[in-house]
Amino acid sequence: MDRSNKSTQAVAVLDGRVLGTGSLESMKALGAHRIDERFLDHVLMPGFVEGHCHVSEGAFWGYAYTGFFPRADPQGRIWEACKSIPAVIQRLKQSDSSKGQISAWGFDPIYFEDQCRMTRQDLDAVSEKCCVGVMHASGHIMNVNTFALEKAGLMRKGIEHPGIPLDKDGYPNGELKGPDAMTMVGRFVGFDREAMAGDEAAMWRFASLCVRAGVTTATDLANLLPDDAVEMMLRVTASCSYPVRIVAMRRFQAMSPTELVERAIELKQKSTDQLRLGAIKAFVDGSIQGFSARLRWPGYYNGMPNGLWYTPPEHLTLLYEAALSNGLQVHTHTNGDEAIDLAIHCFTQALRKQSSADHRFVLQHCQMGDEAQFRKMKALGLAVNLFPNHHYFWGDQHRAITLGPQRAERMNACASALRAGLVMGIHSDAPVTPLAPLFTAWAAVNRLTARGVTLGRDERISVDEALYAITLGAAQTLHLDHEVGSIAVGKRADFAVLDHDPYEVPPEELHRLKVWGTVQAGRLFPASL
Amino acid sequence: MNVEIVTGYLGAGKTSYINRLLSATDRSSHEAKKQRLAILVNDFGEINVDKQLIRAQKGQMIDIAGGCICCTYGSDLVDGLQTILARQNEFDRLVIECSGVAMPAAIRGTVRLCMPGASIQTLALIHLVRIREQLLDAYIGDTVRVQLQQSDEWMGTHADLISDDRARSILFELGYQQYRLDRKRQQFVQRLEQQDPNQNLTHTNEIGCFERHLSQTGFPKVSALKSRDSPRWRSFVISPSDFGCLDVFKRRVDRWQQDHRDPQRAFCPPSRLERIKGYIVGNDDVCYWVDWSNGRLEINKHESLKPSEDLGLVVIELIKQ
Repeated sequence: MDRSNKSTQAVAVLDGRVLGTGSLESMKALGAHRIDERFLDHVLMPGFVEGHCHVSEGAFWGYAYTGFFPRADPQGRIWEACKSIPAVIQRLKQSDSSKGQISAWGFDPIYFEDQCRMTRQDLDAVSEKCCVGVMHASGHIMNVNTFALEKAGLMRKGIEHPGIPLDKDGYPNGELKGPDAMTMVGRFVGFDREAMAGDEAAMWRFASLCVRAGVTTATDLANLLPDDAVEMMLRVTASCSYPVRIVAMRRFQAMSPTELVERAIELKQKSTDQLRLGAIKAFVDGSIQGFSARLRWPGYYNGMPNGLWYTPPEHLTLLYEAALSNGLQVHTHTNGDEAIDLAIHCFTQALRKQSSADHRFVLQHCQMGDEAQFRKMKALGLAVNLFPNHHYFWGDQHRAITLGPQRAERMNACASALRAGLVMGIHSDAPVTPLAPLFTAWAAVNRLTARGVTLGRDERISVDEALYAITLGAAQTLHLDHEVGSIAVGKRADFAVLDHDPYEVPPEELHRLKVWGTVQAGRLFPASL
Repeated sequence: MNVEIVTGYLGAGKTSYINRLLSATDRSSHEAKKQRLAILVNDFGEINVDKQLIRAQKGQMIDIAGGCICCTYGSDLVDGLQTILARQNEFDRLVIECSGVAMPAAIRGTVRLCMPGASIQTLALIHLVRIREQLLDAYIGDTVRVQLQQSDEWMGTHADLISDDRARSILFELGYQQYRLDRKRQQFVQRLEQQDPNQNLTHTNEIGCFERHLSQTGFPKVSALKSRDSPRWRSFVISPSDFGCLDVFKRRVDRWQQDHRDPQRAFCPPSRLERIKGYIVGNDDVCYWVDWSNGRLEINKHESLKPSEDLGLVVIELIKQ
């Protein structure tokens, strides 16, 4: 699939690259060859490019999954949904407690029918002698048992903290909200920073997820990338059986803008074919469902106060300027429309001082971007990576609580972004939502919520546009479109191998397409292994 | 342990302030005054050199891994606090330098959680020249405002760039606006409380005095910081209902002039009354404009103004070095 050559009968591969495309006959002249007919009954697409996800999804799969939606693990086993607290408890009781702790993730009680809250007593039923911790799907809340609270020194009266609700006796009820409350207990239930930063096992689990989803190039979008982590990633990705090209970005944290740019230059020099380094990730605001995104007038639908800035504008401008002058790309997390305004404002200032062609800086998520912002972004040379999975998983909540019906409909406005002529990718932000580009494409095409409502009919895009967004569009946002994202001579032989043609299934069935596995740099990776 | 949270937007002078604390404690000749400071610093500061700017001795400073320590990276603050707790015998006082966009109340909450029983003070530094522009900024205006609202004490910085009068006017204006906001909030809370018959009503109209005010932490205290060894100003906002009438007010001023000590902050140097200005309600229920400076008290009747709880007085004092 290449825009100038929409489909091909066969593809010739040499040394991990595409040597030719066309009919079998036309390529026989390319030289000595062996015809491989294994995929005669399959459809090859360009390997999918996941432009915004986190390798930590691999770390989470070291623990039990307790989400409201079924989810496939790296081995392809489907974990059934946990739709009530007893179901969660049941799953926890079956979990491994050999390390003195029981940990689970993905818990999503907002969909529970009775709106009940999990308490420490619920989790005491799992164990009174092990620390038990359950991370919510949002990643912002955690439930723990009494033993874990005791370990952390929080099983006491008189705590006054907005993130630690108390029960009627004045003790913490076991729910911990926000990073500070969670960190105090996190280390006792397996959710400390070291565990989540990932290790070799997590990298391999992540790779298996990629193969199952047809992904051949994936990002690790907000890594602090200390030297030992970089070495580990270099070692793992250099393995001849590692099936994914990882694009890891250094998060703007713990360094000044100029120090960060120096570090990114250093990292860039360590890049290999399978591990791309040198890009930077910055944060402007928080999340819409966590009410920490910055919104323009009229603010949150339910009247919550405006969110938070994560980076002072002056620092953002400095970072943009320094990155532009050193040819480094910056990806900026923005959710609310005011945050998008600010990123555009800072970038305009930086560009005035340091003009640059084809910098292709990306606004990530950019969920509330409107037409005027998209036009402005186009004029500035910015690209966008939108988050259609949100419609399915949280669209009902956005409509009812955070943004109200009108603005919920214009969230992740893929059609507007394409109309404005923007380079556009779409993403899963795994582990926030499952890594599955075909599902993400389906979400952008149908814009259905979990309750079955079509949210923003006019922002739906065609199957062709959605498939562009998960391949060449995403590759463009990573400055990799000359190497991956389409099947063309000279590019990497990266393919997603599907059982059926996505153009021939009904658009509402797109997410059900079966993925056989991938071919990455000419190597075969069946999902069944 | 005493904990001081230092907040303020970029360029407000947080690092200079911390350096000043460090050198003040280092230089102090009195062994008793030698406080051992621990500093939690938010590493990615002003252009790039916060850490280098701070002249701490080895082991005295612990970096919080950057970003906004109140939200996403709150975990780093917890780690920093726990490191300090593990070494608490080495320190008397902890100073936390916030990032330019951090919310001090959230940080206070985290400190209270990790260090139950610690006495926590929040100081907001105010760039006297830039504050107006910052407050009106479309993007960060509300962040700066919340930082001021969530602080116990304010300090104006870069006071050497403007005249004393101007510095005092700016602080007066900020203090007055803040006071009106606080008063509105208080009234609102009272209205809510009154709906609950079991709740004891707080008496806001009882006749108070300056001393009572000083012992309360309800209003931010304000001061201005110039370059090294220049005078420090501090001011309070006082409600007219706290001294009831003009006569009480006059007597209080006299007494304060004679014998003023700050009962709340024992380690503060003695201060001298510099100026009082604002509105007060007289015995005749009419508003008076009062302006006291250098022992001279000017009083003007303002019949057009209605007595209300929104009126107030700003008191500015000079802290003797």
